[in-house]
Amino acid sequence: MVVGADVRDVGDAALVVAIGRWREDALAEAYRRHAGAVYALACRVLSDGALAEEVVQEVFLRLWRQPDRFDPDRGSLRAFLLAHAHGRAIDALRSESSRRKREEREARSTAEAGYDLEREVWDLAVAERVKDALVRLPAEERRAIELAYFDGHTYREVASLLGQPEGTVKSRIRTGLRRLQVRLVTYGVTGTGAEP
Amino acid sequence: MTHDELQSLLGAYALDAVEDDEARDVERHLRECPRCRAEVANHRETAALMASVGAEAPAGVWDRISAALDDDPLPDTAALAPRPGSPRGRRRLPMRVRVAAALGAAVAAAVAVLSVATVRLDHRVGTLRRTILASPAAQAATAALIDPLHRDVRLTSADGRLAAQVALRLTGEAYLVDTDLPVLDRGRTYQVWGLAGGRVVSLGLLGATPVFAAFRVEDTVTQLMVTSEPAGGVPAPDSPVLIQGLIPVRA
Repeated sequence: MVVGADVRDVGDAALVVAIGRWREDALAEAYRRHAGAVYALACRVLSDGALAEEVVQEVFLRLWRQPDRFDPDRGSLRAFLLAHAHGRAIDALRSESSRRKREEREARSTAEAGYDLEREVWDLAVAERVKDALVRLPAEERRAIELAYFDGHTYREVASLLGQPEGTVKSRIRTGLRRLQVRLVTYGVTGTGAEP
Repeated sequence: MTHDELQSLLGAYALDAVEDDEARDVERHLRECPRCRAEVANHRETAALMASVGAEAPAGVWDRISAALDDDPLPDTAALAPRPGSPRGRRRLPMRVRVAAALGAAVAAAVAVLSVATVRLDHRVGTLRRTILASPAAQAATAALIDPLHRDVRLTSADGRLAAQVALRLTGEAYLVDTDLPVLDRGRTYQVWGLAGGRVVSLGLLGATPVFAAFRVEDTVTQLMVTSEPAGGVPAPDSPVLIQGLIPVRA
């Protein structure tokens, strides 16, 4: 972006360059675009709003401190931020102190089985397509991906939860993700909100 | 770990669902394998799309972030820009003022480099699609899909519960672009067959995880079928047909 340009008008990659030049308005704009998704994912993994807020804060402060860790050649900003958020949420989840919370959460999530995408969405059209692609996955692949990604289990834990061989779960996660990707491409969903 | 073993972990790794020692092995491998790096990047994009629901960031968090910036040391941007001396307050000045306040031709040169980098970055946002489709198999399959002359072959099971879509180009290149076929156990593979002049001929093996699988279809073939066979395949179909479909005639 050129000097003085309105940060609302630029793409994500240019936004990160502006963040590298200490432009707080650029960080605020990145926050406006992606913090909702970051928060939603952290909430879903942690089932704890206060912990999820800490994750959001950590994710955007790291973007401020180390903007050059984002490489636009390796994917979108949204995916980069969510991958960091997911990693931080998993760390919190797997730490000793949260074991009790996790047990409560597991008891609860069995009661809430089924896919919940009924919340407000940042882009209804995209969310609808993602939902459609997810429900069309073979059930065992979808279950393995959800248990790993949203519930924070390792593939070994997923294998023991589902009573399936570890190798099978590993390949179900990988194949399910590839299937989802190709379906989303077929549906014309290829980005994650990079454009303003 | 062998390359195959590492590769089999990439989906779980992208979802932070591997053990710490496995994560270290994968990370070491990713540093030297662009193909696996691209696969992890693809999985993360897909995961990001799954997570892209839930609109509003919680109120108050931005204020905490903004307050933290004031106490923050300079951002780590050594690779991108010169480091001015005094961090506090400087960040909030408009860029123009900061450039004017900075000294020397080195700064001007750095700004020029930055502008070039910025144009390059802007361009990359527009070509995000390319990044997402970085895997060669996905690229070839997508190229077939967007080719206006390709034909879609719909394959379904007799009970309608399994389906697949094959994109067939005029050249005879065919790609399984979408399917419900489940992952097979170790030691099994999907095999695709063509019906040509009343004879069933093997068109190739699709592997145990058939997404993006490629094979060739000769002009004489009118119908496609898929079976599950022992790894390595068989010369003639030995198992019930799982899904099948007629190839539409050329427009």
